[in-house]
Parts: sequence; structure tokens; C-alpha cells
Amino acid sequence: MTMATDANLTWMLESLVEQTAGATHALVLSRDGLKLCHTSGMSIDQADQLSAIAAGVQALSQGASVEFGDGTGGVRHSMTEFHGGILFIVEAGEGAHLAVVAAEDADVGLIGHRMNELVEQIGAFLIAPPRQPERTQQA
Amino acid sequence: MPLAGTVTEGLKIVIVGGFGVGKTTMVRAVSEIRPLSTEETMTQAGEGIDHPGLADGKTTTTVAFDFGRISLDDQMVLYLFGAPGQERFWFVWDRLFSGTLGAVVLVDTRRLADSWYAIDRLEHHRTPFIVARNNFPGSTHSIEDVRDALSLPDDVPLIDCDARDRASAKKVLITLVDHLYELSTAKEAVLS
Ligand SMILES: Nc1nc2c(ncn2[C@@H]2O[C@H](COP(=O)(O)OP(=O)(O)OP(=O)(O)O)[C@@H](O)[C@H]2O)c(=O)[nH]1
Ligand SMILES: [Mg+2]
Repeated sequence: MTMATDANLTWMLESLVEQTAGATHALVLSRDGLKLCHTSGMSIDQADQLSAIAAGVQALSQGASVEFGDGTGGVRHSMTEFHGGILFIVEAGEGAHLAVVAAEDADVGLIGHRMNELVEQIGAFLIAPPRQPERTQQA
Repeated sequence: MPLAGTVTEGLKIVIVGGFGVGKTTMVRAVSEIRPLSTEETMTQAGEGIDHPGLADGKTTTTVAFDFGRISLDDQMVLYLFGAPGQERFWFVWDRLFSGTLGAVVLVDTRRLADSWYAIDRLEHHRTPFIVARNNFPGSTHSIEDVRDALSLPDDVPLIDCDARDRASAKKVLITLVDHLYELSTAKEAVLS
């Protein structure tokens, strides 16, 4: 989906990465695993991959929340540490997630804080609305 | 339903196949525990990428995998993993296949080509499988057409099912387990 504001959103992601020590990439994806916008340091292939991965991680975390949470809501925040980096994912606007990749030694609290700040500011624009039912059948 | 204390055998089974063939539906139909669901609403970001056109009324898609459990009798329990169907999630498949004793390839005869990749991966992993045709309305091909179209060897069981129906889905799983037993007895006969 392209919106008139896509360039602005990308710019906001770029400045998040530039102004947050340790952050290397930022991406907004739809909950069904497709990229909406991302920082330019990431190739298209990487953005496609990370979109599918982050959607899967959030869906599995949702399963943990359903089974072991108090039932009041979904997933607040996922964090995965691997050799060479950390992946953070938070809920963005309706139907979307925000993902940030950071260096292994990044300040976890700072990155989480910056992500929440961004979602508060522009979450209303980080959205992926449900599809309309298809009228014409496709093979 | 709690797992019976008498269970002595747990088998990991994967249900795989193309987009929208009914994998999630099948896991949900047979599971005796609340199934793990990783369904997400299909968004406008997928326009031109996902084509749910044939699966009428399908509004969600699996973004990780389904998980459910079914006891076939007092001793045997199956752990069911439903694979995601869309290409962008195929990277999950190889992980799901590891440690899997057998697989069900679910096919929709209106889109048979969508099952080639699944069969290819299973053969690569040497995972034994059976093929189940999910009977959507308008499925025209006969079961033997399906065998030809998929170039399935004669010893791969091929059956009809309705993934929404518990008894029908359970029969598919029993067919798979029987097939696995036949294969292992055949192997033992060779070894002894
Ligand atoms: N008529 C009919 N509809 C079915 C049958 N099995 C599944 N459906 C419907 O077909 C759609 C597809 O089912 P899913 O179970 O989501 O398919 P899936 O293979 O898990 O799809 P992905 O995970 O997105 O690849 C749903 O809307 C089901 O209600 C069937 O046997 N007959
Ligand atoms: Mg599914």
C-alpha cells in the first residue's frame, strides 16, 4: 500500500535509527507479514524477510499471551537476542508492527523507549487495513 | 482434555500444502487441546501478492504455524504442526520438518501445482507422507488424476477428505500412521 505520507514515515524511521545509538535498521510491516516501509540501509530482500519473520514472532508471542497472560490484551513487546544483534518488535497502528534491528551491545531500554515514542507520535499512520473482499475471482 | 497417563508414544506430524488448502482448518477440526493459532487478517499490503480468490470467505492467513494434539488411542498421541502456506513463510518449513515422522500433504485440485514445492521438500527431507484431497465444492479431478498430475508413486497413499470434519480429518491421520507402520515393518523385514 502506498500512501502520500510514505516518504515522511520512512524519514521518521531513518531519524529513529540515526538518533538512537546501536539501532541499525527499522521497518514497519503488516501483521500478515508484508513490508510497509523501512530504512534504506536494508535491502528489499532483507525487508521482505524481516517482515515475514517479525509477523511470525508476534503471532507466536500472541499465543504465549493467550495461554499464559491475564487475558487483557496482546503482545506488548518482543525482543530476540542473537549472536551479532538484537531484534525488537512492538505493536504499531492498527494491523501493523514496528521492528528495529540493533547491535548486540545496544542499550535495550533506550531502544524500547524510542520505539514506543515513535508509535505514540505516528502510530495512527503506521497501519495496514484489512483487505476488501475480492469481487473478481483470481486463479 | 488432559493427556492420558497411559500414553507411550508421541508422534510429530506436519500438515503441509499450498496457500488456503485447509491446513489450519484441519488442525482445528481434530485438536483436543485449544489449538495454537497464528492467524492474521490479510491486509491491503497483500493486494497483488496473496490470491485467496478461490477460497471463498477466507480472510486470514497463517503467519507462523498451527499446533494441536490428538490422541488416537490410549497409547498413541499425535502432535500436529500445520505449516504456513504462503511463500514468504516457507523458511519455517525446514524447521518444522526436522524431527517429523510423517506428513500430510493437503491438496486443492483446483490448484494442484501449489503442492509441488511441499512434496519436493518432503522428498528432500526423506519424510514419509500421504496426500489428502480436500474436497472443496467444484473439485472435478478424480483421485487417480491427482496421482498422475503429482507423479506420485503407487505406494504413497492418496485419499479424499473434508478438512472441516473431525471424523474425516482423523481418518486422514490414521491413514498416515498406518502408512508409517507399514514402512517401518517393511524396513525391519529387510534388516532381519
Ligand atoms: N468448502 C470447503 N471449504 C473449506 C474446506 N476446508 C477449508 N475450507 C475453507 O477454506 C478456507 C481456507 O482454510 P485455511 O484452513 O485457512 O487454509 P490454510 O491451508 O491453513 O491456509 P494458509 O495457512 O493461509 O496457507 C477457509 O475459509 C475454510 O473455511 C473444505 O473442505 N470445504
Ligand atoms: Mg493456515
